Amino acid sequence: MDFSLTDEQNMFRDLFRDFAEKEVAKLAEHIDRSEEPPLDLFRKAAAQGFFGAPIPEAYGGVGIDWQSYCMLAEELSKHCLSTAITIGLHTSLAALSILDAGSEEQKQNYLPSMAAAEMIGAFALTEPDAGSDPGSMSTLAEKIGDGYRLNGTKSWVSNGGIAGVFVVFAATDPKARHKGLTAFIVEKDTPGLTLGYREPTMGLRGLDIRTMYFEDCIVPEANRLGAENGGWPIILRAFDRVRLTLAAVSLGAAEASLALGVTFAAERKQFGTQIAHKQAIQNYVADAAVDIEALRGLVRHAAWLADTGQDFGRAASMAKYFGARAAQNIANKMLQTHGGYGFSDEYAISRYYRDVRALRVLGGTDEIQRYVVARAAFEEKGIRIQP
Amino acid sequence: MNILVPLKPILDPAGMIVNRKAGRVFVNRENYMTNPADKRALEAALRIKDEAGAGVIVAAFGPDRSADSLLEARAMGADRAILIDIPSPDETVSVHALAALCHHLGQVDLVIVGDSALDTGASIGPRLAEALDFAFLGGAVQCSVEGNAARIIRRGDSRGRPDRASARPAPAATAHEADLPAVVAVTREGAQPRYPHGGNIITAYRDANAIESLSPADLGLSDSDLQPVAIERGQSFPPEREFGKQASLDDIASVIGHR
Amino acid sequence: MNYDLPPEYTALRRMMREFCEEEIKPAAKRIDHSGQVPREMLQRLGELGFLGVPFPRQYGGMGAGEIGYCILMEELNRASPSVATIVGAHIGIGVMSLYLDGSKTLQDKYMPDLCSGKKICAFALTEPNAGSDAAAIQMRATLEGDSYFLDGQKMWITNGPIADVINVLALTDPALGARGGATVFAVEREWEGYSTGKPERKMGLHGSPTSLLNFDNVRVPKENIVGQLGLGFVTFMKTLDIGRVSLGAATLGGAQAALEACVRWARTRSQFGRQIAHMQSVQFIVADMAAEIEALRALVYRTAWLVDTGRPFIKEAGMCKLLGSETASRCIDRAVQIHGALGLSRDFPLERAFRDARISEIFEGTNEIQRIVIASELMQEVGVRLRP
Repeated sequence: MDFSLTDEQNMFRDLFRDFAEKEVAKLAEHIDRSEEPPLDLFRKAAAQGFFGAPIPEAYGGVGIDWQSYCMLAEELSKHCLSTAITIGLHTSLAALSILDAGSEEQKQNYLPSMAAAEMIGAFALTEPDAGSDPGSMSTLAEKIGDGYRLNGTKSWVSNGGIAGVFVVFAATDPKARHKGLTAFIVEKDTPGLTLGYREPTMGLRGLDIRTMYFEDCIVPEANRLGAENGGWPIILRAFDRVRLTLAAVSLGAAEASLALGVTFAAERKQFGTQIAHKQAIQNYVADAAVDIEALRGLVRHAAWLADTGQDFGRAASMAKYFGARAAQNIANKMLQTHGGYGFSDEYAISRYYRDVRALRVLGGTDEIQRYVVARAAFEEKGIRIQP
Repeated sequence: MNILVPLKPILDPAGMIVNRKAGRVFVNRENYMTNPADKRALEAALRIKDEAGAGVIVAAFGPDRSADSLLEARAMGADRAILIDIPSPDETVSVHALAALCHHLGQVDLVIVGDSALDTGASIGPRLAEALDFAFLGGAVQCSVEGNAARIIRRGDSRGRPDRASARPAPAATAHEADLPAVVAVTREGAQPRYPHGGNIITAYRDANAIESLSPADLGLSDSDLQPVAIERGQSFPPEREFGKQASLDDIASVIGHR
Repeated sequence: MNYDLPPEYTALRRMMREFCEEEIKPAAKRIDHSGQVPREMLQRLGELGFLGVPFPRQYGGMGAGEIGYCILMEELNRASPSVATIVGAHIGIGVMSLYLDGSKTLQDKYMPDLCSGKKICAFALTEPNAGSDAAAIQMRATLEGDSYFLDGQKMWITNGPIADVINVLALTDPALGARGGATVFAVEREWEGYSTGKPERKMGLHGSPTSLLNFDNVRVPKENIVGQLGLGFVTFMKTLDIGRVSLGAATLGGAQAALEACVRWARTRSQFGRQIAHMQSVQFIVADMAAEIEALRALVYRTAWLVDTGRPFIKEAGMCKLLGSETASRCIDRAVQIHGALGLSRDFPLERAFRDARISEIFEGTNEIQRIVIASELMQEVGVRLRP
């Protein structure tokens, strides 16, 4: 048993932290106000290898392990959740799905430019009527000659407006529900693909979330990802990865919120002393610190499972669920610590408060995570529960 | 005096669910434990060691899953633990290897085995006795060594099936003796195995030499000795038994009337 | 990084669980009703090394470190919180203070008997007017010749009525106060002037006896000073820090037992024509419990690892105690809810678990104190020293 980080992991963390403090911190407020994805920042991050962090070196990436990758998400989200999530979804959902299921040719074609952020990736799964239940999706892919014709609508596609490449799921056998889904790699300029409305959101305002329309969009067979009707396992594995990523994002957000609260409490004076001396404030701070420590344990454990090739789905769900709730709770308490200032946009805590709320929905709602965890608990006793 | 106790690690049945409809046994938790009867055999050997003094040697087949059984036995008080490097042998190969082990060790006066394994087989005891030309005592719930003889207590049929000839209930227990060397098979009704001292567990696991390893070559086993006789062709459930019929009062009356 | 428990600890846990399932769990109800843990059971724990898990073999311990001790507390508390509390007070704070700071002579004199269960140990800090504010103790120890004379009262002492050796904190220099003027003494129960009060009547933990201790000019030879003269407060605080890790482990066992009960029950119980396991409300309760328990487990064993590898652990230890006690109370409360009326039945173990769990939020430093400890560690990082 050994809980210490390796020298390499420590080095990566320092690198991530350094970049986040120098480059991301100063832009965070601007990103939130302008609601623009910071493309320049992405180019700098890509130059450091962040966009290809978990992609193997053979495909132009850095090939870091999950433990370090989680620290990347954590360090970025300490300053800007939009940026952390843009990079997190690009890598964990889009790029790693291609690495996971793609042919050698597809990997050669897409991964190097994704690692360089020349092509940002997006993952188009959710539909207006298919959220937590992807099996009920209505986007169709009909086989025609040596390609497929896609028709339908995808909503809530994160990175939609800035993406160069989409991993799209469509039904090739709609009657088979989730067993009839197929994954495709679709490039931005493919005829028949139209980007729609950008969702105006409460938080994560730097994240470009779009609706997408497919009208007789022809995708060549060479761009099918994995086997026909083989989309479901790709989705499940992508879920495991994105949940772990978002758990690490929650950890960073929670730590940042706590740090803001502690700094404020050390400066703010009421009744003649710093409010740090008030036990009410100390209680908020202590509870937050405990949750963060517990969350760190969950994230590291899940990442270790992933690194050692074990099944990490249940652990990632737990970490994501626990993390999202903890992050929201902590942001709320730290906003409270700020008093009226917390409500002001002049203080960063209000941005965190708005941003972290998304974590309880994004990448599988709290309710779905709880189902996954409960399913594992009951399976041990030999009973299969349905969602 | 040396006592050999073979141990078999088996899949813990508590982690399994039998699903007749699917025609499968699902393993929810893959946990291995020492076969319960073998553990009681070990306890019997350790009691002889405590009372009369003896060297207790445990042996198991490996390399997988057996380490826990062997180390636990060391923690309970076994003096030596031997891992025979033959992965999952059937009973025939086991008997060849254990007989060879007895010869390899030299002076083995008593072999105590569990009378049956929860997963497969109950014939190791008699077959090993035959192979070694030892006496065999089966169905023991207690075992002791007196002078040059092994003495066991065998429990009678406790359901008290009447002895038709004498119309008396069967005796509760009988004692049997055989001259050493002997093979004794202990049942699952044998004495409750002891708990090891926690410190002994730590010591046994941290001792790199706690387990000695022997290869088939060390035991002088030839390839033909390692050939299993039985071949597994697959698994299936026994046919489902039909429910009995609920008898009506009339049915019962007619049967009684007929008598 | 490696989360795998070394195999000896897995084997130790297997043995401990088997023992607890077979020997302690069946007796848990009787222990609660009769209000006592049979001395033979403690003796039996001692024979197997359970009463000296973290201490070296030479004293009859297991040499299994803090990790081994946490495993023990988790398993014991899963079976019977009363037994776990006796063992926790005995090892975790009682013998631990002797082991941390006691002289070689004192350790040789007492530890073998304490580790084997021949003697039971207690740790006496709390007084009628010194609870969370431990530095407010008033008990006096006056030097006369070669001996100190102890005079005063200790309160709420776990193991009080059954302890044979009591480590007690008293003021040797009242002018300096507790910080600098207090000393720990090892007192034996037969010594003249020492007496215990009636066992307290409590809501839970009926099997773990708690009482008042009276010291009426008890003569204690100088050799029985534990640690250094005047530095007793430090010894005691150090002991409590370690104790919090294993208390966190104990609460983990209680929460785990509640989760297991829920999963079993949800599988057995049917309503509206199907097992309640299929109801999302039940699934979500189970999932919440599982996630919180997993987080607690990660925290507790990581902290135990910090202790065993000699790294700083004080903040984390407070977190173990705080998160553990609240997680356990919450999980058991939810388990009662899932069991419906049966959860309140005295024929069912959950009712007892519910009463037993509450004290964890109070003893070994209330949760409010833990929060202050944690907050002050954090505030120190931004340069503010908190006043208690």
